[in-house]
Amino acid sequence: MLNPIPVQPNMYRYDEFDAKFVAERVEQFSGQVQRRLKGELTEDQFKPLRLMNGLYLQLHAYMLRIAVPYGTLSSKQVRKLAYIARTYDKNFGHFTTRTNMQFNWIRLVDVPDIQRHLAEVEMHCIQTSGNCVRNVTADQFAGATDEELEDPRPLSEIIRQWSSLHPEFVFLARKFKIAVGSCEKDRAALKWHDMAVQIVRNEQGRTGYLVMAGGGMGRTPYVAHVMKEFVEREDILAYLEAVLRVYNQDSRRDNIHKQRIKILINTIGVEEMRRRVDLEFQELKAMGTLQLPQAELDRIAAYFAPPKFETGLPDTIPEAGPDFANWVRTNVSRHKQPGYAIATITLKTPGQVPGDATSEQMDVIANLMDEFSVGEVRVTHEQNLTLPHVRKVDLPAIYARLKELDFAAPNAGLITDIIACPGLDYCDLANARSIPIAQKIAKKFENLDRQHQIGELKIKISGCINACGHHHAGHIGILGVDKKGVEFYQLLLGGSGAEDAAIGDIMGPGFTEHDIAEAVERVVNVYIAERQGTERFLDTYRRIGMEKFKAAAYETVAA
Amino acid sequence: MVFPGAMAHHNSGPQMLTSNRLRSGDVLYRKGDGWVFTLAEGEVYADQAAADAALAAANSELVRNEFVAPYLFEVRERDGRIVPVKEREIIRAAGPTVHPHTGKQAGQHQTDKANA
Repeated sequence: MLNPIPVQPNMYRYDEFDAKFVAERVEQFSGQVQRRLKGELTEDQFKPLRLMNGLYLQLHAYMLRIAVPYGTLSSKQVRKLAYIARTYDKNFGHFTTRTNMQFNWIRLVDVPDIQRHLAEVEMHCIQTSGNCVRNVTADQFAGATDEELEDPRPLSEIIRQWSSLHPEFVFLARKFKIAVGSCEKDRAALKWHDMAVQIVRNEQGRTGYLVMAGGGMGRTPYVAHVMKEFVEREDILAYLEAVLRVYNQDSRRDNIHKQRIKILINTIGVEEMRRRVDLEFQELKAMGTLQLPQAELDRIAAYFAPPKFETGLPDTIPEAGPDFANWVRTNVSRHKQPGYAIATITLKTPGQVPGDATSEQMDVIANLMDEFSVGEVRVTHEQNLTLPHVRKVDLPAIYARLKELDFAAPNAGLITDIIACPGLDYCDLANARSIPIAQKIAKKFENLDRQHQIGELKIKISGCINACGHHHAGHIGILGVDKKGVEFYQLLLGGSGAEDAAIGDIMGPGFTEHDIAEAVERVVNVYIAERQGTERFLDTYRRIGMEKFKAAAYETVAA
Repeated sequence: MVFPGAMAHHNSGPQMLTSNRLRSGDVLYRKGDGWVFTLAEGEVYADQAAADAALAAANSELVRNEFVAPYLFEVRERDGRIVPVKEREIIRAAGPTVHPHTGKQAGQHQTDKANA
């Protein structure tokens, strides 16, 4: 009999300050809601306040976005999300590409109670909207993969604390998104963020940080520039503050489409941006008020200490049939500890809504977390979940339970593991639906042998130019557009959200809702016919370019 | 304040007026000098003058703090039924196409929940 696994995850726990801060914010917003209902606040006055608390008015109802810092959730928190879905929503929630959770059917009058429930489990909705530093995201394999130089969560938590209601950065020109990675392999789409930090080691063997800035999607996509190759540990907050300060001071505020940091950097040039940031950085460094003491870094890092891994466990994955073997092939990754593995739960069984989970599914996942993964799960920007620390011997049992939940699709990284924003089914800004297109494509490629034959292929779908579905970064990207009230879909090829980040090339005119899945299939067929050796779709596209893909995609449409 | 749905400044033909209930977020449709929950029950304004008058009346009632974000949208008659011209408004009137058990297509209103 193996030892039971502890259920208390090693993650950040609120101190007195955090708890008081969140509780006060809940009561403050509760008061604002009451004042709005009584008419003491107009909608114009209330809207920025509700947005600062994650509350949007969407196509059908209010939507509440809940922050999941660096994608990390405890089982207690997952159970609370299940409770909220069951009690205040329609029994399901949606994991987003920013690793947050959204509830789509929330009533304004219920929001204060929901936020009190969230505070009980150290969660909130602060900085999930508005022109501020948004929820920090990180590599979902943090603390588990042997690829990382060090765990990115302590720095992520420090950035969260530094940026939370930072008085200088509460009213930025636009939203500002930060991600943290820990190795050459980029699972957090670092280069697509306003600012990103990659943990690196310099020639002297010292660990520090590479800082990038100016990445972003939307109507003007850019891949981030390196701002500084190596920032010493103690200087990281001063350097990040310097970047934000230059952005805050110098960015435009007269045109909403030109107010992100990517526009500033690409207008003044990266060298000029570096110069301005360096001036600020030297000033901040001279003041010495933002140096990060090693003791504080150690204190935060202690929250994320590795769990007590068992030793002497068998380091092989048991055999449990061909379906299980297929799941292991794509959804199980190497762990740094012998006898352990990282398991990815794709919320993408063909036909499912990418990222959706019901209350019942969330409750069962919470149980799985407690039984098999030290009470912890990570939300990924690809709208999946990751169990970071599972014993290899437990993988068959985990798989069996996931199968009962219909969350055992063996497709992580394959063509049916599609990112899709909520699109016109929910979003007030969308021009076209994303989810039904994802469902159609996933069903079309449902055959697992075919998925494996195709190999790694990332499809990403957005319902409008705001690009919440990361279409610019898809190996195949799909952008929904509105033509006189009718949905059309543009194809983009060659994008990447990984370490080889690239902006996809627009193929041409859009396809109808009925034609788009077939057009994708014809594009994939060209890849199969043209690929050499072990080339991924992306490699083949980069080698042969758009022409053949375009000819095939429009072939049937033209006929 | 300009809401996304209010961006259609060049509506032509018959129109309807929609908003959201403040307390619950429910989608509403204008009928007479009040609001109903379903598009089928809502009032169709045959000409621009009638539509503008309805919108002006709704805007003047915003101070009551019962509804928010009123805007006009185009509709047309199809098979004897009034349907919105734009896909957006068709989905808004029915509910998400991917969850047919939710929204107005399932007869659900946010207001029906307790304490609405």
